Amino acid sequence: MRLTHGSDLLENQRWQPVPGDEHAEIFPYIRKVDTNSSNSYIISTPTQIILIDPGGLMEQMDLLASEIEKIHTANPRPVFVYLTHTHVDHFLVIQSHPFFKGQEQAIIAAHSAGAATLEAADTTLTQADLFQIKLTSTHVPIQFFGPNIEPETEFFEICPLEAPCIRVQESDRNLGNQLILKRQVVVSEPHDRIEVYHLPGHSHDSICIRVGGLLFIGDLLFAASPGVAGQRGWNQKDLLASLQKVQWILKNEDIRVCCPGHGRLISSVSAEAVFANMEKETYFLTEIQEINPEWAKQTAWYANELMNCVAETFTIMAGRCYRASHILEELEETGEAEHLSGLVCLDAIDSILADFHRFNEEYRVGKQLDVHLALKAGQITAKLEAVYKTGQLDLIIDPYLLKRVERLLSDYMTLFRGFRPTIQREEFELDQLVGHCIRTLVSPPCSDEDLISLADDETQYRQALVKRLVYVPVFEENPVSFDPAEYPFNVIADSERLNDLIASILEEIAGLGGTDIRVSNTKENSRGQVIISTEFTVPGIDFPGEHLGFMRKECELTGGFLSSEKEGDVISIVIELPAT
Amino acid sequence: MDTTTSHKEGVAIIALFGRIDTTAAPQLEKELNTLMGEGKRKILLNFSEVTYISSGGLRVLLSTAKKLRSPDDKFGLCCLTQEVNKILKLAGFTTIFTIFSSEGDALDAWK
Repeated sequence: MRLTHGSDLLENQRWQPVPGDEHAEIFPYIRKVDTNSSNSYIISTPTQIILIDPGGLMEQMDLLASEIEKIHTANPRPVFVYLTHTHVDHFLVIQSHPFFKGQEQAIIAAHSAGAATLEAADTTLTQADLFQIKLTSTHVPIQFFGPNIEPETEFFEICPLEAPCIRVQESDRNLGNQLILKRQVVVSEPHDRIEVYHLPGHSHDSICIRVGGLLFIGDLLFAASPGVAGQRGWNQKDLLASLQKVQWILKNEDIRVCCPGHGRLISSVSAEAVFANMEKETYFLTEIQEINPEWAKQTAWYANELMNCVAETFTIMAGRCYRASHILEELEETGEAEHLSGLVCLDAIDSILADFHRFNEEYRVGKQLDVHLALKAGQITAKLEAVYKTGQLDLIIDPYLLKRVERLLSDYMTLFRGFRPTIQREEFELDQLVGHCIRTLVSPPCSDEDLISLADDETQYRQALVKRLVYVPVFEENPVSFDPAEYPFNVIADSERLNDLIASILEEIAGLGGTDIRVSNTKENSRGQVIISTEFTVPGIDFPGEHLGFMRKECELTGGFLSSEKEGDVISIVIELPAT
Repeated sequence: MDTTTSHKEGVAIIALFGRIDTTAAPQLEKELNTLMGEGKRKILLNFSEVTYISSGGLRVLLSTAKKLRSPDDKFGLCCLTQEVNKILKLAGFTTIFTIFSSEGDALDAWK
């Protein structure tokens, strides 16, 4: 299989020369990006075999072990296992694969801090607890950048009993601007030269490894990505420095290809541009939440609720468009009906949401973990945002629904990136906002007068007619009554989010067939209240039911607090807001 | 999605189970087309075990309604769950389709 990114990159799972080192060959094992396992790379030189990041999957290690056996049988040499960092997806097989049991020649090498992490079987710094993985202690004989190096010696030798001597040369370089590139050079035979750079940030123990014109960069490429930035051991300041250093390496050393810990290889030219962009992004990654099991649990819950809400909203939007198209066909406006159907990109959205649902089913039966669901929702949200922006739904669909979806997706990505969604607190009169919200919900987007006035302009008239047809008068059967406060008062909250929340609660009630829908505003001391109440004549309606948690979360983002009350047959949702 | 089809008083009743999403919608459309191909012109969909309907499902409903528009044809939905009823109502479909609270009500109405 040819790796498609770049023209001179390596082929997957095939032995080939290492660019820039005529004595070495490489066997890359490139995987699709996921959290189960990293890419792996086997390097073969005349005097040693190096396995970089054995990964997390037994079947992957089976194949790697078989390749190593073949070249080892042909030319017996010591086998070294270099870890770019000690995250569990890069090393887990070391703990359980037979290759590492009694394999005297497999000598593990990692940064000294990572070695300590593995010796201590630390489940937090390895991220193992996110994936509910238990670890046992692993000894790491070769420790780079350790404190035990005597500063006055240029070389030191590491001679584990099982291994031949290799020499590690200290070779730090001052890059200016107070940047010191920590570098060690591993030398065994004259031709075998491997450079190791300490580039922390993604983790405290991240190293990049250079062999010939290849730079093995571990997860540096993903260190600013949502769901990665904020992991235990992640550090913004270190990452910024490492990004500058890796750009220096790419500019000044003869690196041709970067070999990442996940996904396709990347040319050094492309990598330089990516790292430059990452540096800009990383400046903004201040005060992000720590990614730990509690974060994963909360984010997975939010993802699940949000996707249900997004799926429902998209279905309603699609239904309204199909219905309008159906009516247009009835009116023999086939062209307009086809045009309307063409505007809707909801088939693609439907497929994306079905993909999330399948994943969620696996999560429900315990085949996927919290962190997997949170990450999956991140991918799904990004896909939805891409498809959603390409549509022209804003020409026809109720702006409230469009804004709602936009906000939901944006809030998830914000949370997923480790930030809190922004609450734009401002002071406004509560009666005005609630009154406007209700009027907008219950009024068609084009009045009869609008249609009459546009009758002479065929294009505008058709557009207005379509908009009118897409509108569904959900409150026609059960109108909403509004009781403003006795004396108008101001509250401090996010007005757009509050408007969105009230509208969504009212539509939910209307959809469930609530009757006698009332909205009233009251003020008690320093608390303003919006009370939305209704009754259900159909027995067995579960409102707000399991949506209460999500409504509460949405209300928190307005700057308020939401609760539900039931008195007799009347169910009320109470939104409390700070009043002035 | 699973389905079972039964025939009562000249009406083909398809009981639907599970989610009618982008994967299930084509399957439902195929089953409906097969029934119509066999000359069945009175079709009732029982939604009592449907947990979710997506836009793909809504489109199949509309497409079937279009095909069953002769004076003697009948197409209806019954036993909608809370969630499905809400989606149909908010999408404006409750005014397009005939919706019954039970299979019995539909059969009585179509006698």
